[in-house]
Formats: sequence, C-alpha cells, structure tokens
Amino acid sequence: MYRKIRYMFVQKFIKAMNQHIKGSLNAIVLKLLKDNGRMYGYEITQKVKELTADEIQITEGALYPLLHKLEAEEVLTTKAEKVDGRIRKYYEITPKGNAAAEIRISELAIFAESLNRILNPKTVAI
Amino acid sequence: MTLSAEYIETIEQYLLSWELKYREFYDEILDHYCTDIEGKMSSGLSFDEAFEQTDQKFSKYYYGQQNGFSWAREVQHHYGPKAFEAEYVDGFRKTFRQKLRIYFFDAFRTYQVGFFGVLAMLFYYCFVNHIFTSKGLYLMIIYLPILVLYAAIFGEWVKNGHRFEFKLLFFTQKEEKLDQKRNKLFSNVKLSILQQYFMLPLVLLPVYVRPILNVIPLTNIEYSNEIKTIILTLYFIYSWVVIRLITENTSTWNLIKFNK
Repeated sequence: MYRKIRYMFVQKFIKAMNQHIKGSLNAIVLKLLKDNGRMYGYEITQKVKELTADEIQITEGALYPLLHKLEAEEVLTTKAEKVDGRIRKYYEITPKGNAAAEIRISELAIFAESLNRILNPKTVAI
Repeated sequence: MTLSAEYIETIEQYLLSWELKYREFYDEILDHYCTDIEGKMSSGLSFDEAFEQTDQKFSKYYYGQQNGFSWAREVQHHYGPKAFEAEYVDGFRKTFRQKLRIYFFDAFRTYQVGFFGVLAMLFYYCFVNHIFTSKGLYLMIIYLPILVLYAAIFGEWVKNGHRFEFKLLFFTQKEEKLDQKRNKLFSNVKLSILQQYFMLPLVLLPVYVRPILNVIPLTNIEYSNEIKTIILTLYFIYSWVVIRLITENTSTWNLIKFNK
C-alpha cells in the first residue's frame, strides 16, 4: 500500500517536472516568435543556439510537436512560401496567442527569478 | 550554398520511403532537411556525412498513436519522420473532437434547442399530414444542405490543394516515378480530417430516417411520436454543429497558399 502510494507520488512528480520543462520550451518559442515576427522551424533551433551560446539546444523531436500543438490550439498560424525552389512554412503568433504568450513568458521570468534567489542568495539583496 | 537537384531528389526519395501522407508536413520536413544539410556542407562536410547527421535527429523519434475508444484501444507505433506526422495529425484530431463536443452541448444551452425542436416537429407533422407527398422530396430536403456543403468543400479543395483535378481524371500525364509519389500526398491535413468527420451524418442518416418516419419499411419497431421528434431534433442539431465547424474551418484552409 505504502509502496503504491509512493510510486503514484513519484509518477506525479515526474509528470509535473516534464510539464514544467515543456512549459519553459513553450515560453522560449513564443518569446522568439514575438520578438522576430515570423520564423520557420530550423531558424528557431539556430536562434536558440545563437542566443544561449550553444548551452541550450532545442531538439527537433521537442520543437516540431510543440509547434504543431500550438498550431492546432490556434496560438500560431502558418504561411507557406516558396524559397529556393522549395516550400517553407513560417509560423506566426495569432492575436489570440499573443495573450497566452505574454502569460507564459511572465510565468517563466518569475520562476527564473525565484530560482536565482534560492541558488545565489547573496547576490540578491532584499 | 544551395543543394543541387540530385541531392534534393535523394532526400525526397528517402522521406517518401517513410510513407508520409500529408503534403503540408512533407514540405516542412523537406525544407528542414535541406537547410540543415546546406549549413553543414558549407562548413566542410560531404553530403553523405551531413545527411546522416541531420537524419539522426529525426530517425530516433517515436510516437504511439492511439486509435479507437478507451475500451478497445489500439496503439500504432510510429518511428522517424512518420512519428512526427502522426503526432501532428493527432493534434488536429483532438482539437476537432473537442470543438465538436463543445458545440454540440452549446446547442442545448441556448434558444437553438427550441428552434430545432420546432423545426423537427414541423417536419414530422408535415409528413404525417401528407404535405410532403413523395419520398424523394423529403429525402431531397434532408440531403440538399449536405450536398451544397460537399460542393463547397470540393470547390475549396480544387482551389487550394490542386491535388484532385478533373484534368487528372481524363488526361493521363507522363510523369517521373518520384513525381507520382509526391503527388499522392494529401495537400492539407485539416481538410482530410474534416472530410472523415463530415461523412458521419451521411452514414448515420438512413439510421435516423428509417425509424423516424418509416419511409423505408425495413423494421417492425414502432417509436412513439415524441421519440421520433426528439431523434429528429438531435439530428438537426448534429448536422448544424457539423455545418458550423465546416464553415469556420474554411477560413483556415485559405492560410496555405503556394506562391507560384
């Protein structure tokens, strides 16, 4: 019984952590799209690499499912354009998605700040 | 640097070997492969090495697609680019189902229930009092909106997708094998899913019509007038919900336009 409860708790914790990691990726992508207007999938991976000096790498396995999910939720819209003889799919934030993006970005900022306070208590003078 | 046509063709052949279905996703992934390989080749790698490195990012991916209801669930295992596509399609399916559910229950909350109820009663009593004298007339009234919507969808399909044209039915075109394969891809994910769901009222129609009005005497079961009107009301609501969904989604079909 006790083991079962502990197992359930651990599973719940793992689920929450996964959701948190996914949520932060969500905020990163939305922030990039908000700043740069429209972007395509490969461009997003490269931009994240550039900005974080290779420290954070968004894998394709995480990025595309997220983009597709946001598209299905109508947070993003797509536009296809012909570039170099092939069709490129650009992503853009919709007006509906703009509000969601702001909320997610501010949530991540608050979380990062509080994490920083815990990890480096001396640097932050209250 | 830009990739030569031969290199692009080898990438296309590789991607199509994964049995992808949808053009929209195919174009996106092809573009990703090409830009990634171009970047790697300009830094000094050969095509084969660059291709292997980019492919490793995609080929490891796994997605289990769940089909059927909760009591009879079947999991389809997908790997590589196909897994990405399956997840993509599943996302649209999920939101569509959610919308269908929300709109259906929405219809019960407002005045619309009364409207459809009155409509159903009118239809029923008109038929009982022999105002609709022939079977054909009655069936036409039910089928007409559906046929009109089908025509609208067909028009959109031809306009945007260019995947199904009358020309192709009558004139065979000499094409390369790769081209034929590429042309088999469905142009738009949203439309093909909508089509699947749009088949539902058509499939269910005979089931409703038969017990409601005993137009086709195939069954001996007799329903009371109240049940008949309730069933007819439900059918009207259902078809109205589907029509609302279709008309809403027509605007999204226009988002994807190819610059030719």
